[in-house]
Amino acid sequence: MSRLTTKTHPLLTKTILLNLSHKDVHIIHQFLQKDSKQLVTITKLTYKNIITIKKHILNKNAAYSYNALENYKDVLSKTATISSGIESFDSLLAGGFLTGKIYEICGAPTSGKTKLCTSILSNYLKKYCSNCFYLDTKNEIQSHLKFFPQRDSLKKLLIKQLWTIHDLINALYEIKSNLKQLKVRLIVLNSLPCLFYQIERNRANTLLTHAVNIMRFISKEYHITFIVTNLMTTWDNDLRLGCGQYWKTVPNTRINISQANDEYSLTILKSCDLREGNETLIKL
Amino acid sequence: MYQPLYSIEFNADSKEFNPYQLKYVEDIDEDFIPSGWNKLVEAPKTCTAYDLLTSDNEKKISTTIEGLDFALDGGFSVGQINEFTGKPGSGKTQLCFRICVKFLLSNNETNVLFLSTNHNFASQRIEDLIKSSNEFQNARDELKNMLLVKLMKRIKIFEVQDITDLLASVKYLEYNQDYAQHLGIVFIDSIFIPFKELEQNERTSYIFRFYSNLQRLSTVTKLTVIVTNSITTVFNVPGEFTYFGSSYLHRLNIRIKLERLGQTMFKAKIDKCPYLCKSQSFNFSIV
Repeated sequence: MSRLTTKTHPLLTKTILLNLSHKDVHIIHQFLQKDSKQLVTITKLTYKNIITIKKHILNKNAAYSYNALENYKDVLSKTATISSGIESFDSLLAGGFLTGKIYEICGAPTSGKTKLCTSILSNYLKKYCSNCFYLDTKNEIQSHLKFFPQRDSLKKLLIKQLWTIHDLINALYEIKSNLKQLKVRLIVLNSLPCLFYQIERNRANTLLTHAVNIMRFISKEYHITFIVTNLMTTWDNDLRLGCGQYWKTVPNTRINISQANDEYSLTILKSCDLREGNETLIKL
Repeated sequence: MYQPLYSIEFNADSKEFNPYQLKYVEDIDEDFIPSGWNKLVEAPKTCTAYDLLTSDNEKKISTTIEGLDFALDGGFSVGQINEFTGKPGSGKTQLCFRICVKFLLSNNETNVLFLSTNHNFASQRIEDLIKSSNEFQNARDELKNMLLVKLMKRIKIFEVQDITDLLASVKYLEYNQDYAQHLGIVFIDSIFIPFKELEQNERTSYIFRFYSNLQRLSTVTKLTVIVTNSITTVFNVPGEFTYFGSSYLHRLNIRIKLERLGQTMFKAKIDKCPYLCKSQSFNFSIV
C-alpha cells in the first residue's frame, strides 16, 4: 500500500491526512521525501513524532536482511525436491526440481516441450496428490488430458487460460493471494513466447519484468517450483533463444529438449547448481 | 508484495488518471475507481482439469481424410488453430472446400465463414461437391434445389483485400458475438498474403496478437479455425520453408503439410500435433 491512511500510523488522524493532502502529500513516498520541519508545520505534530512515523513506515516497507545461516536453515526445513517421474531426468537434475527456483525448458517447435510438461504434471499428480497449476497460452491442455493415467487426480490440476501478458500478471497476483489455502508446489507456464511476442518492443521487457518479479516472489516465499517453456529458433545456423536478452538472465536452470527418433535428448544449458553440458536421453 | 499500477494497462504517470500519484493496485479504493477498472485487474478464471475433461463433448470436425481423422483422434477440435501448408497447387483450398461441405452436411445449425485473401473461393466447386454427396443424391428430385440453396446460404464469405480487412473481420466477430455464435468453422485462405505486407519487425507482434484474439474468440463461441499457408525459400539457406518461420509454428496447435503426388493423388503429412502422431502421412485423392 502506498496510500497514507489512518492505518499507516496511530498518530495520523483524519484531519492530519486531510491537511497533508491539501499540500499534495497523498502517498508514503511523498511523506518520506518531504522535509520533516515542513511536515511539522503542516501536521502540527512534534518533530520527534514525525521522525517516529517515518521510521515506522520505513521498517514496515523496506526489505529486511537475514544471514546465510538462517537462509540455509530455512532452505533445509521448507524447500522440497519435486521428482520429474523419469529416472534419468531426476539424476540429471541431481534429485529433481527444487522449490524456490525457476526452471526453463527450451527447444525448437515440435521438439516435445508440451509433452515433457504434461509428463511432469502427470507424474507429480500421481506421486504427490497435491494441487498444481498449469497456465495455458494456446488452449492445448485439453488434447493432452486423455493421456493422464488417473482421472480423479485431475481434480488437483488447476488450469488458467491466459491470452495476454496482463492475464499472466493478474493471474499470478491472484494465485499469490490464494496460496495460503491452496497447497501448491508446482506451477507450469506453457508457453512464454506466446505472451511475450504480442507486446510492442518498447514495452516488452517492462511488462516481462513485472511478471518475473511476482514469479520470483511466489517461488521464494511459498516454496514453489516454476517451470516455463520457451522457444529456440535457428537463424543462419545460429541458435537463438526466444523472449529477448533480459529473459536469458531470469531462470535458474535452462534445459534444452530436442527430439531424436523416438527419444528426447535433454541438455543443461545454464544452471546455478547443476553441471552445464550434462545430457540424458528419455522416452515419453 | 503489492501489484504495481505499471503492470496493468493504466496510465499511472498521468496527473489526469492518477491525481494522487498512487503506486499500487491495492491503493485504489471506493473513493477513486478509474473507469473500466474491473476489466483491468481481472484474472482469468481457474478451472480443474477434471471439469475440462468431463465438459469436453464438442463434436470434432472431419478432415475428410480417413487415416488423418483417426490420427487426430476424430479430427479438428473446437478452439484450436489448425493449418494446412504446402506448395501452390498442393490441394489446400480444395481440401478446405471438402471439409466445409462435409461439415455443412453433418449438422444443420452452424454456418461456415470463409476469409478469402487470394480470391480463390469458387462457388461452382462448392456446388459440384454438394451435388456429388450422398445426401444430395438420395434426396427427392423436387427437394434437391432447395437443399443446395439452403447449404450454400450457410457459407459466408469475406473477400479480404489487405491486413486491415483481415484484422477488421476478426474484430467484427468479437463485437458481434451473436453472429460468431452461429459459426462452426472459420477458414482463412491464405494467412500469409495479408501478413506479408507488414515489415518483419512488427509482423511477429501482429501475428501473435491476431492469433491470441482469434483463439480466445474461438473458445468462447465454440468454433474451429482452419488456416492455409504456403511454402517459400530463404536466402542462403537450402530447402523450403513455410512462411513466417519457427516462432509462427510454435503458435499453432496443428500443422499438416500437403503435397501433390499426381493429377488426383495427394499426400498429407502431420508436422505438428498434440498426439503421438507426428510425421505420419496419409494419401488421399481429390476428384
